Amino acid sequence: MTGYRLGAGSDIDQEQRVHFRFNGKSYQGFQGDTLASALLASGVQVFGRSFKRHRPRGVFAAGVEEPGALVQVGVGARTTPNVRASRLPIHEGLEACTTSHWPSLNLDLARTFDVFSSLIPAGFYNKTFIWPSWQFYEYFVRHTAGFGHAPRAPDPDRYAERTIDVDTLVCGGGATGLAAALEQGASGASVLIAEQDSRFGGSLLSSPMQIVDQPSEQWLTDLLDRIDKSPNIEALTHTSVSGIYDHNLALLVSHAIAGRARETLLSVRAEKIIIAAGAIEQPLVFEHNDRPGIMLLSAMQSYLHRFGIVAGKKIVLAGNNDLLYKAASDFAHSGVSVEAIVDSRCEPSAPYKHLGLTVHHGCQVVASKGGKSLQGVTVTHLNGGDLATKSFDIACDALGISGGMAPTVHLACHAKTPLAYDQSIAAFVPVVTGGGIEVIGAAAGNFDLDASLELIASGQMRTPVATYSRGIGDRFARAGNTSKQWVDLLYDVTIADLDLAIRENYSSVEHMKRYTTNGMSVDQGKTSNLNALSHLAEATERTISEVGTTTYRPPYTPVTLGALVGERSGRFYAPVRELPMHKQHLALGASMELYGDWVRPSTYLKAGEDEASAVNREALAVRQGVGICDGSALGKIEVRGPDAAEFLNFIYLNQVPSLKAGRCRYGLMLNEQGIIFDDGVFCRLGKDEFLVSTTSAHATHVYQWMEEWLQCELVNMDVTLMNATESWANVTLAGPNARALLGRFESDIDLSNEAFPFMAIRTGQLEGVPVRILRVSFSGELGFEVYVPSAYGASLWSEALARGADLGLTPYGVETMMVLRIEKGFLHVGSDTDGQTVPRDVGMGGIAARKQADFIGKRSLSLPNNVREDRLELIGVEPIDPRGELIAGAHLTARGEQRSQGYVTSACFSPTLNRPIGLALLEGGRGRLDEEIDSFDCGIRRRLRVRSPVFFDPEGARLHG
Amino acid sequence: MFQIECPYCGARDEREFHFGGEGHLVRPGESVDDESWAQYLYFRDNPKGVHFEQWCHRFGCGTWFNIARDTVTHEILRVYPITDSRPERKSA
Amino acid sequence: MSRYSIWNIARHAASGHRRWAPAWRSPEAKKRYDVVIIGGGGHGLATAYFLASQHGVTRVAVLEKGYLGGGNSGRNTQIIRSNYFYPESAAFYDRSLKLYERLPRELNFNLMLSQRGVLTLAHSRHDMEANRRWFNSVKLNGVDAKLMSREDIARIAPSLNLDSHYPVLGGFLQPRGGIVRHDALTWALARGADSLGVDLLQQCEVTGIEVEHDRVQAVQTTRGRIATGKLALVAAGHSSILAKMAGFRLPVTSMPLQAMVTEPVKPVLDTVIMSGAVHAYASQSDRGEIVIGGGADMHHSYAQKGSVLTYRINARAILELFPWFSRLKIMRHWAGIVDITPDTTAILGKTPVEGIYINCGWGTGGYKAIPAGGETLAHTIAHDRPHPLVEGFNLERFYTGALIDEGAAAGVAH
Repeated sequence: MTGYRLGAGSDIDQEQRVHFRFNGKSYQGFQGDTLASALLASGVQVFGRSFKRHRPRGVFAAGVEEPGALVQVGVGARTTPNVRASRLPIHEGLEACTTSHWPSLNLDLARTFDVFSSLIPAGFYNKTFIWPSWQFYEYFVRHTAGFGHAPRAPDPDRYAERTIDVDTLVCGGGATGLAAALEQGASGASVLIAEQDSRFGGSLLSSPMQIVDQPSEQWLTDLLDRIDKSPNIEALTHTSVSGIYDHNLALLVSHAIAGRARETLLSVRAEKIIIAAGAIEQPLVFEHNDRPGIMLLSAMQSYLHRFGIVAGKKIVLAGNNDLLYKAASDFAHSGVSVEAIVDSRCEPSAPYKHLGLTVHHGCQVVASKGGKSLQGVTVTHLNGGDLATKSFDIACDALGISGGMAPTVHLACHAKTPLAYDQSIAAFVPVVTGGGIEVIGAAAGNFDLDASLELIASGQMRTPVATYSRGIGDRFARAGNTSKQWVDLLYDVTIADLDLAIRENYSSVEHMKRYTTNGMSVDQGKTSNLNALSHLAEATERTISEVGTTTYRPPYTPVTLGALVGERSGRFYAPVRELPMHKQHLALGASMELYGDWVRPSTYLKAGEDEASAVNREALAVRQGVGICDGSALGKIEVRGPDAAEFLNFIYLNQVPSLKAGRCRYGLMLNEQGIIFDDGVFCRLGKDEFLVSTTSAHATHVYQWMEEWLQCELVNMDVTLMNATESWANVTLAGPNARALLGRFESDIDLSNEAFPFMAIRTGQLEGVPVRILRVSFSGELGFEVYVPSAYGASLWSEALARGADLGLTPYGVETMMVLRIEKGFLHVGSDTDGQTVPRDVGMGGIAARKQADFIGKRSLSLPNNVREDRLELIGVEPIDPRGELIAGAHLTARGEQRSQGYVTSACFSPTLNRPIGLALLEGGRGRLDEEIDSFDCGIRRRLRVRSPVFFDPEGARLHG
Repeated sequence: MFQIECPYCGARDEREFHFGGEGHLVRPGESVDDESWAQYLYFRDNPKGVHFEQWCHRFGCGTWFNIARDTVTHEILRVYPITDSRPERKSA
Repeated sequence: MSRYSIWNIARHAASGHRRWAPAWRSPEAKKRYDVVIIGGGGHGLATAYFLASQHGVTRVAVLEKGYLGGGNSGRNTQIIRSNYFYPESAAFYDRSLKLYERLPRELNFNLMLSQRGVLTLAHSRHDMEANRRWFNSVKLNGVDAKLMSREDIARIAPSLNLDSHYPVLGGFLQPRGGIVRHDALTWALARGADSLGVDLLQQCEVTGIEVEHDRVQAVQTTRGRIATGKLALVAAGHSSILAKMAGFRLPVTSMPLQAMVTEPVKPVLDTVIMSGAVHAYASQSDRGEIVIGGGADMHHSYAQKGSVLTYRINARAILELFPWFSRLKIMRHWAGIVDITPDTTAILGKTPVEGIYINCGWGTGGYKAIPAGGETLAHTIAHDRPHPLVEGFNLERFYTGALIDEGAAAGVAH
C-alpha cells in the first residue's frame, strides 16, 4: 500500500507538525495524528511481525481491534510494550519501534517459521519436543515468543483512582450513546458517558452522513453542545470501559483526567448501565488476507475522514454487505476513486449505480497478490455457492474489506447477558434481560442509526436488530489454500489450523480456541472469534447457536497493572502503625523494623555493636538493673457491662468470675476447634469492668472476634467492647530496679510489694496524668506496665530515661524482649504454637479440665485427636555442646532417625546463661525431659537435650520480689 | 465487588464488609457427640442458589447482619437483622 | 492412536495434515459401565486413565457436563510443586510431581513441563523462621529444596523488588517445581484414556444419582440413564451438589479463585515466585504472559467470575513484588470455582454410600495434584480401599479432629 495524505482530516491540525522516530528513522506528522495515520501518510507499510510465523503485518484497523500494528513505545523506565499504533497519538519526540523480529523488521530471519509453516500446524507444541524433554527446547522457544519488552525499572509515572456513583453510565460516546445520555439526563439524573476514542461521535467520525436532515457534523456539534450545558452529564473521552462487574460496578480507565496521573481508574457504580459500544467490522477470509495493504473498510474510511489519508493509489473494496457502497460513495465525495467493488452477494445494489462504479456481483476475492505490499487481488465468480472456474485479477495497492459489523457484545457478556446469534447480520447480539443493563444502537445489532435515535427519543432503550437492506453474504472464500487463509492475524491462526483442530476432535468452541490459540492474543479475538465460530459451525454441520460462543472476559481492552493499583503501592501498600514513642526511639538510634503492621525497635544499637551484642547488653541490663520497653503495641480491649465477667468466661479458657477487682490473670483464648488463638493478661478493673490485653499482632483480630461472638451468638449478654489499643501508651519497666525507678514519679499508687503484688492492676494518677499500672512481666523480672493516655507516652518515656540514668536504665527492643521471654519459657503465640496446638500441648490442659462452664473450643478439646499421647508438646531444648548452634525452624528427630518429631519454635543465645537455648514442640515432649535428640537444619544434625522450658528462675522469685 | 445494603448505614461497597459464612448456625451444647460437634464445626450449606449468610459492616458501623444471596447471580435478595430467624427460601 | 513426533508431523505435512486421527472419540453413551466418573477435568480424566492403564478397568465412562477441562483444569495458574510440610502431603504431592515428570513420554504428549523452580519468599523474621521450619520439613520429607539468601534471589529473579513494603529477607526454592501447560495435560490424559477404551461423554450433565440400600445403582444424565456399580464424584466446585444428590454432606464451600495474565512480553521472569506476605504468586508462561494468582474471593459463589476487590488486591500484590510490571497490561482475568475444606487438604476416598468415591476439596491447589489424585483414586476404586498415600485424606478426620492443616503448620499460602 502506498498511502498518502490527501488533505484535511477532522482529527488533525495541519498547522502543527510533530516530529517523531519509528525504528530509528525520523518522521513527521500532524498534531492529532496517531502513529498509524502518521506512518501511513509517510508510505510506511510494515508495522510489525506476527507472533508465530513472523509474517509482515500492516495497519489493519483504526481502533482497539487492531491485530497487527503493535509497537514498543518510549525508552528506559517508561518504555511500554504492545501499544496499538492505531491508538497511539503522536507527540513531539515520540520514539516507537517494532519488536518480535531479528535482525530487523524488513529482514526477519524468524520468517523461516513461515517458510516451514506446514511443519508447525496447530497443536505443534503438543506433538513435539517430548524427547528428551520440553525444557531442552524451552529457552529458545521462550525467547522467540512474547511481543514487546517489559521495562527494566520501576514505573516513574503515577496512577490515580476515583470512585463515582451515578444514575446512568453510558458506555460509548457515539451517536446513540450521546443521544441516550441526553435522554437520561433530561430528568435530572446524573449521567457519565465514557468514550474510548479521542473524540465523541463513534462511527460518524469516519463515516459522516445525514441525520434528521442535517449533516452529522452539525448534528453532533449541537448534541455535544447540549451535553456540555447539562451540569448533570459528565462526558469523558479517552476513557475505556474495561469491565462490568457485580451489582453494576464498571471499571473505567481514563487518560483524560487532568492531573499528574498517567491513567486514572474509575470505579463507577451505576443504577443503570447503557451499553452503546457500537460494532466492530469483521474481516473476510481468503488466501493471503494478511498482507499489508489490506485493511478493514471502516478503517479506510476512518483514515480518510479523520486524518485525510488515502490508503492507496488503487483501491478495491470487497465484502458481503451494503457498507461497501456507502464507503465508495464517501470516497467519491472526497475525490478518491475506487477501482472496483467485489460483492459476494448476487443481487445488484441499484442506488449506487450513479457513482459509476465497477461492481463485481456474486464475486469473491479469493487471494491477494504481492510481496510485503499488496499488488492485486484474484477474484472469482460464485455461482449459487459454487465457484466458477473462471477467475480474474484486479491490480490494486489497497484493499478495504468488510464482512459486516459485529455488535461489540463484550461488555454485555461481562454482565452475564446471554447472546443469541442473528442470522440476518451474521453476528451475535445480546439478549437483554434487565438487571440494570441496557444495550442500544449498533451494540444491539441495530445498524440503522435513524431508527435507533427515534427509539431513544421515545424513551425506549431496547432496539431490535436492523438488517442490511440486501442481506449479508459470505465471509469465507470458497477456494484457495486454507493454510494461507488467516483468521487470527496476531497469533497466526489459519483455516487449516481450525480444520486440523476439528479433525482431531477439538471441536468444542473452547477446545478449538485453546488448541489453535485463536483469539487469545492482545486483541482477544475482536476480529477473529466470530469467523472462527462460523467456520467451526459450518465444518461440523451445526448452527452457530449450537456451537455456542466463547466467553468474553474482562478487560475489554488490556489495562495496565499500574492503573489497577493506583497509588496503593510502596509505602501506601498497607497501613503502617507507629508507636506513640516513635520519635524517641529514632532519637535513641533504634533499628526500627516492621512487626506485623507496627514499626517497632528491634534493638537500640550503640556504635560498634552488632545486633547480637546489643541484645546481650540490653538483656543483661534488664536482669541486673532496669530496662524500659515500648509495649504500646499490645492490644487493649475494654470490656464493660453487667455480663462482662460471664462473657469473658466464655471467651477465655481460664476462670474469669473468680478474679477479684484489682487483679490480673494470664489467659488463653481458643478458637472453636480448640486451637490456641491468642494469649495475654486480663484484668478486673471493677465488678463489671475488665481490661483485656492481647498480643500485638492479634489485637484487632481479637476485638473483631469478640464482637462477632457477642453479636451473633451471645446476643442476650449486656456487654460493651471497646478497642482501646491506640488510646493508651505502654511504658514497660522491667528489672530489679523497676520499683525504685517508678517510685521516683509522683503518684497516688502504693508500689510496695504488699500493697501492689504480682499480677495486680492499679489505677490512679502519675504526675497528674491518669494511669493504669499492671504488675506483670514478660521478662521474668519485677515488671510494671505503665499505661498513660497515648499523648503522654512520649513525655513519660523521656522522663523515665532522665530519672533512671543512675539506675542503669536501658531501653530494650523486641529482639531483647524475645530473649528474656525464651529464658523464662514464656509462650509466644504464633511462634511456639502452630495451627494445631491445644492447651494441653503447652501445659494448660489442667486448667481446661477443671473449668466447669462452657467456653469457646471446649468441646473440641475432647476430640480423639486432641487427647493423643504423642501430640507435640512445648519443651525447652539446649545443644549438648554449649558452643553449638540452635536454630529456630530446625526439626527434631530421635537420634539418627529421619522422621520429624517436632521443631525448634524459638531460639536464642542466652546472655544470662551464656549458652544457646530454645523452645520446641516435640512429640510427647514433656515425658522426655533430659533425653538426647537430634536437631536437623539444612542437612546438618546436632545433638540436643530436652529440658524444661523454664531456663531461668523457675521458682519465679524475681517476679514476686 | 458487591454493593451491600447495611441495615444501619445503607448501600456500601463490599470492601467495607467482612464475610462471615453461613448464618443461622446453632451452637450445640458441650454434651453432643463428636459427629454432631463436627457437623457444627465443619459442615456448611453450600447451595447453588440462595445462600443465607452473615456479614459484618466492619469498616463502618461494625454491625453483623444476615443476607440472603444468590450464589450464581450474586443478587442480594434480602438483608435482615442478625437475630431474625431464617426466612423461607421462597420469600427470600 | 497415532504417535506424536516431529517425524510424524513432517509425514503429515506432506498430506496437508489431513490424515490426523481424532485425539479422542465422541462415543454414544452405553447403558452400563463398570465405573462412572463424574467430571471431565484433570482429576477425572487421570482417574479414568489410571483405572485403564494400571488396573485394566476399561469399561469406564467420564461424564462431563460441558467440555473436557472446562472447569478449574483450564483456569489455573499451572504451578506444580511438592514442597509440603506434612509427610502425608509431601509423599502425595511428590508422587504427583514424579508422575508429571513421567507423563509426557508415557502419554506421548508434550505437557510443556518446565521445572524452572518454585521460589517461596520470606519477608520478616517470623517468615524466615517459618520458612526455615518448612524448608527443613521438606528436606526431611525427601523432597528437593534449596535455602536461598537475598543475594541468591536477586540473581535468579532480577525483576523482583527485594525492598518492597515487606522486604525480601530470604526464601527457599524447590528446583523441581515449575509449571505445566494445563490444556495439554487435560488433552493428553483424555487421549490416553480414550485410547485404552474409556468413553469420554461431553455435554453430559448428571441430573440425579440413584442409590438403593446405601449402594449406588445408576446416574441419570442429560444423555440418559447410566447404570454402574462404582461412581466417582470428581467435580471440583460442584462436589457439594453431587454429594447432595447421593444423599450425604461434605465439609466444603465453593468460592471463586481468580487468575489473570498480562499481554505476552519477552522473558523477564524465569522462576515461579510465591509470597505469603502479599498472598500472591506469578510466573511467566512460555508464550510470554505473566500469569498471576492470589487468594480466593471471600464468599460463596458458583458464578465463575471474580470480584474487582480481589482482582485489584492481586494486582497490588504483584506490583509490590515486581514494580517493573506496572506498564504491562492485563489481557484477561477470570475465575474458577474451588471447593475449600476446613483444613485446605483434599478429601479423597470412600464415602458413606457404598460404591461412591470422592475426590474433592483441593481448594486452591488442585492442579498440581492431578496425576497422583487420579492414580490414588483409581487404586481406591479398583480395590475398594484407600490408597496408602491418601489414607489421611479421609472424611473421618473431621470427626476425630485429625486435620492436615498445611497452612496452619507453616503459615503457607496453599
